[in-house]
Amino acid sequence: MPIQLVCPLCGDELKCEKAHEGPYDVPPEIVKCAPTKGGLHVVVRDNHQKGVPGVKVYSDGSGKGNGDSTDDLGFAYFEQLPAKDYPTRIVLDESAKDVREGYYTETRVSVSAEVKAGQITMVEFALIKYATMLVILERKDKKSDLPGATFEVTSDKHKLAEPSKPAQDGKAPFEKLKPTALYTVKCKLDEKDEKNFQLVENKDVEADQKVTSAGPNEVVFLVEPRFWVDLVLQDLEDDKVKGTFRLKQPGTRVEAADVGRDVKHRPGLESGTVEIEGVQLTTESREFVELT
Amino acid sequence: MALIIRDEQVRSLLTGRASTLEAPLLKKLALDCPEDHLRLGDGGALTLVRETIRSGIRRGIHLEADLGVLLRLYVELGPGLELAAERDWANKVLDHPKLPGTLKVTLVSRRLFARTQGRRIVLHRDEV
Repeated sequence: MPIQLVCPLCGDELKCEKAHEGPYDVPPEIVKCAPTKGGLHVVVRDNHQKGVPGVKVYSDGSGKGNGDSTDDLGFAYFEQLPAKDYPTRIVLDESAKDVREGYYTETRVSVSAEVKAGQITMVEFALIKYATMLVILERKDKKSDLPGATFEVTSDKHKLAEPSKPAQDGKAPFEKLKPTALYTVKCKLDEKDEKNFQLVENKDVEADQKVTSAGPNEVVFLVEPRFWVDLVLQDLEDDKVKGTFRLKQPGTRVEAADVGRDVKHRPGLESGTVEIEGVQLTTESREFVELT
Repeated sequence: MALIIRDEQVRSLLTGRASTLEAPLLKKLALDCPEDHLRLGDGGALTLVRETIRSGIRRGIHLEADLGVLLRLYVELGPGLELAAERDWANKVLDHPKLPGTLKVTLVSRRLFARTQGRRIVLHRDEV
């Protein structure tokens, strides 16, 4: 079957002018033809200047009514176009799944591109690759037993589909974040674990977190265990006695005031032994002088 | 007695030769790409030629003819070949440490110009 050769510039069929049956031979002479048509090359790059494949591109009037998709290098080619303006656009919703789910745009998605005879007009579109943030909860003492927690990621510029996630083994990934936005990240310990753990205060991890598509975007919250005692001062006869406990730990002394018949939780102690140095009864309870 | 020419000496020789390459490449630019030469002006053309020579020598492309091809690639596709779809591939070939310079520019120019077929690429600029 003969191969039909066409001029890459004007699209006309190439014919052999030699005196034999053809077209089996390509004329060896290079004949310059006056270019009457041009080309339109569309390139879609991401925020790392990498070509994005699978982006749906339409160029009205180019003859490709169903549009084209960018190749592995992020290019789509519209060739042999008569010289005029071509409204050209990219459509993310009609692009490949990787593109739909992995990129967004904050710049123009359509232009009117002028194609001139004998020239290639190159149109660039820019996409931004979503980023993923991994929020991590770690113990300051590096032990593995972690409290339950919920992370929350919010932004003024971007509303997340799922802004709040419970930590799984101390971690939670937040996907589809925008590198062009700033995020506030919060960590809330589960109520049941608040008695035994507390977050180490670090304002830096909360506000104005930036993310990059290249990642890794890790935000680490540190948690430390709380050490506490529960105290009760019980009058065996009428339960009215109250007092202040003087507690001693190596290198420090603390007090627990207003202890009575109900359990008094005294947090803020150090790890280790706690010694009860004494109990100062309140004025109303002065008559109770003997403690058991 | 063995004569040893070290890399530094080769570089020194090539640097000296660079100035002798400027005039013929400038002439080639004016002849092959008169519009670009006019657009760049004398100063701009000389800067581009010097940059091409420097880039070529760094990439192991020393011959005048090969540098001429490289110059044409830079003129048509940008000094980083940024207008070429296959710029990453092309820069990888040009930076290859062992391929001969002539082979590098031949491979790259054939492949990149096959797409453009002699047509110039013009970047669309949005009207402000």
